[in-house]
Parts: sequence; C-alpha cells; structure tokens
Amino acid sequence: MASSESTTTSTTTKVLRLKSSDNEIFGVEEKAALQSETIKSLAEDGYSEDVIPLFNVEKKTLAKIVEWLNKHASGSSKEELKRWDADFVDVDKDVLYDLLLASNYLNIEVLLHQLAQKVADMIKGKKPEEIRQLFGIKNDFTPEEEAEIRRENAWAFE
Amino acid sequence: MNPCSLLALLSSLPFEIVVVICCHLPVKSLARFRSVSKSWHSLIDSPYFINLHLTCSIETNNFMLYVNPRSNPKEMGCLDFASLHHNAGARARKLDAWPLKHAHICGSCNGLFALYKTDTKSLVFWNPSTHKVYDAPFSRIRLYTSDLSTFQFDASGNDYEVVMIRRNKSTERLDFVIYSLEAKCWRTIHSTINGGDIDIRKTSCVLFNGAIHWLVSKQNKCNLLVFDLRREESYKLPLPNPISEHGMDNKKLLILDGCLCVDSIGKQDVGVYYNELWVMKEYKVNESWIKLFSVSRNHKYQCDFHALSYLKNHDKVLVEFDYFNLLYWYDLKNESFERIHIPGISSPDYTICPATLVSIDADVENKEKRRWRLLKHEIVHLSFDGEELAQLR
Repeated sequence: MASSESTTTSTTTKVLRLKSSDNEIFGVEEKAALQSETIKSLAEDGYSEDVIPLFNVEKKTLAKIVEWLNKHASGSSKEELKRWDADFVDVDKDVLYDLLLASNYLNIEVLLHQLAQKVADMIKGKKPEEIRQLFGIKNDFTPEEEAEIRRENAWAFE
Repeated sequence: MNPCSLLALLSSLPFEIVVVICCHLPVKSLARFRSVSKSWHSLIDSPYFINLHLTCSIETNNFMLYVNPRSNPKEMGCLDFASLHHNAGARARKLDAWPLKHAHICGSCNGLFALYKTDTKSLVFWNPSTHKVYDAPFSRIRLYTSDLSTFQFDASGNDYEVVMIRRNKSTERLDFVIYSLEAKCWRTIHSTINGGDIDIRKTSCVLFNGAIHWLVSKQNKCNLLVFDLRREESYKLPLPNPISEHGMDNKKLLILDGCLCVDSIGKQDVGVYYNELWVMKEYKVNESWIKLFSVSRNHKYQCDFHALSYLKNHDKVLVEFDYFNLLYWYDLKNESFERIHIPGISSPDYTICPATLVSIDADVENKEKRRWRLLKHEIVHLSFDGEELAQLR
C-alpha cells in the first residue's frame, strides 16, 4: 500500500476547494472529493477551478465529512477501514443527525448507509409504540385495524 | 443511551433518510413496525421498499444459512451470517415455520424457497423470514427421479421461474419445463442438446442470467455449454486456460456474489493437490476470468471442498468440505481456514439466502414491480431425492 501511495503523490494532484455554509474553505484532493455525487456534478458544472459552495453543510460537519472522504481515498486495507468506520460513526446523536443530513445532501451513498446502519441498530429492538414516540408519528389506525395487522405478524412480537 | 437525544435525532429526520434507515432493519423488526402507522405500513409493504431492502440485504451480507439434516429434511434450522461470523460455535435456531410435511426444495432465490409438494404434486413458494407461503395455482406436474429442478428470478421478463431439466424419453434430447409465476402455467422447451452427452444428475449445472450452464468435456478439453431459455439456443463458452485442459471431473459450477464461478480440484505434482476457484467477473467476457484463490495441500481430502458464499467486504469465503459436510471460513488474505461448529446437526444440506421481505403475492399482483431493477445473484439448484419420489409413484 505504502509504495503505491508514494508513486501517486509524485504526480500533481488536483485539489478542490469546498466552502461550508459558514464560509470555511476546505482543500480536498479531487479523487477524495468526487466520492460525493453532489460535488462531482458541481465540479462538472464548472465550479472546479473556483470554490464549490456547499450551502447546507456547516464547517464542523464538513470537517468530519472531509476526514471520511480522505480516509476512503487513502488506499487503506479493508480491515483498517472497517475499524476506522466503526469509530467514525460512534458519535453523539446530534453529530449523527448532522452527518446523516450532510451525507444525504452530498450524496455519499456509502457513508449514508453506514450511518443508517448505526441508527437501525439503535431501533431494531423497539416496539411499535416506541417507534411512534421516537419518530413523532401519530397512530392513524383504528384499534381494530391495528389488532389485525399485529395478528398478521404475531410471530414478530414474540 | 439517553432516550431524549435519540428522540431529537429521529423526530426531525426527512422521510427519505428514514427509508434508508429502514432498509437496514431486520425483517422481524419491519414486520413489527408495519403497525406503527398507515404510512409505515404502506412503505414496508411496497414493492419499491421490498426491492430496496433486498438490495441492501445482499450488499451488507444479511444472509441466512438454512441447514437441514439429510436424514430428516423437514427439521430445518437457520442461522444468520453475523452469528456465523462472530461466533464460530453458533447454534442453529430451529424453524417452526416449515410449511409442509411433504415437500422438497426446488431452489431458492431472493430469500424465497420454491418447494415441490409431493402430496399434491404442485409448487409452493415460501419466505422463511416473513413466514409467508404462497400456493402456486395450476402448478401440478409429475416429477421424475431423474429430473433436476432450479429456481430463478428472470430479470429480463421480471418473473420468478422454476425450471425442471429432464431427458425426453422419445428423442433423448433435453427438455426444459418452466413454471412462470407471471403466466401461472408450465411451458416446455424442446432443445437440440443430446441428453446422452449430459448426465443431468452428475454434471455440474447452474441456472444463471436466464440460461442453464453445464460443464462439458470433449477430448479432455473442458467447456461451458450454455442454453439460453429466452432465445432457446445453445452455445459454448471457454473456461480459463489453466483449468480447461483437464476433464470435468472434480469441477463444480457455482454462483458467488452474482458471478459465475468454477471450482476445480486437481493434482499438481506427486502428492500435491490443489483447489482453485475461478470467477467470471463479467458475464460472457472470456478475458474477465480471475482466480479468487488457490489452495495446495498434501492430502486430497484437504482440498475436497467447494465454496458456498463469498463475503466480499471481509475477504472470506464460506466453504463446505465433502467429508462430513463441515463448514469453514477460508480467509483469502491469511490463506487460512477457520472451522464453524454447528452443534446438533449431522451431515446436513445447506442453503444460503438473503433475509428479505420478498413475497410472491405482492410481486405478482402488483404492476409496480415492472420497474424493479435487475438482480442477478445466488440461484441454488438441488436435485430431488430419488428414493422418496420413487415411493410416491
């Protein structure tokens, strides 16, 4: 791995400049940045020479995203990446929320799915009543309808 | 965990992100969450979501290993891949949802099993994850002991099909008898392939991309014979050079991670045996054959195994040894084996399937399915137990 990295850095690599909603600029190598489909289409639209504005992402979140993009373009081994990813998504829920929104907006599918998996693991054991409460959902079934649907999947409540 | 902050996280998420989160939930959680609200109910039941969840299950290796002892095929147990991975001494959970007393497995695809009921001589489709059973109408057929049956999702016609391969008694050529869930009937294709060239029960064969593939050998040169079920035509594909020279004994065709593969066991030098797995990365592209692994050992039994599943993200292959049907993980990186102990079941048959919400009634009845994207992957083929069928007649 190390040898291939040193050969690629000898050629000049293009750096894209990403601007957060609060006007902080991050320089990111093109190869890393283009993992985001949103950045890719902005770069194709002619923003690549200039600064790419990301109006929906604050600097503290963009810093985390840039960290992820760099790591995933660094040629790390699968095992190392897996360990690194597990640490990366192990964050407070407010950070998780910002990362979910940012990865969705930036269209970084791999990261979005990693974060979604993290949330899914938190809620998979919950009861329907708890899900309603957590997601702020109103139960719009009649008691009869609800009982019927529960009966269809009685095995899932064991 | 602080419940208040989880509430803050989830209650203001856009619905499109909620959908992605739901794709990562186990089938059991989703079955429970159908009763959350009308919008969750229609999301979880929608063909769009079912397909999204299927794709996600395949990509994240959310697979189940179904185990049934050969002595008693109805005693099926299952394990999820995660438990196989983290705990080598995993215990199979007994499935109490096995729907029928007299049934054989024809094959599995997208989390669905196609079963042949020997009492009514008809087909049943069963998803063990959702416990749903679908009796296929007009599917009565008589099966012969020499028939081979397979089950596939045909992406080009967006249809689930059970394919029986049999030798025509009068022409000696191969016939393909196909049940389509879309058409709800059987049709027969008479091929020009000489049944004398292929021993249906012994020749390694897989159904993949709407075509049947066999290994055939002429003058010690081994090839793939392909019969396209749509175009009803046959042609040959070459095998990679290093394994094409030897005959077809000790070679096995299989599907791993959506690719056609050949597992080849042979003798290198005096007293050195090998097992090589070749993968055709791009279908029908001869240059795309790559060798996934090569294992050399001093004893033949150490190489008598075949791959069942490939965990791309973990660089591991699940393999079954021919002796006692033992399961091992083969680590591609360290080139080492790790035994998986499944207590309580001796000489079992294994079937690997993703855990999905796919159900036939929703698939067939709903026209929205026409937009489903192509899914090419594991199609298991199994032959029926000759003795039991013979008793029925």
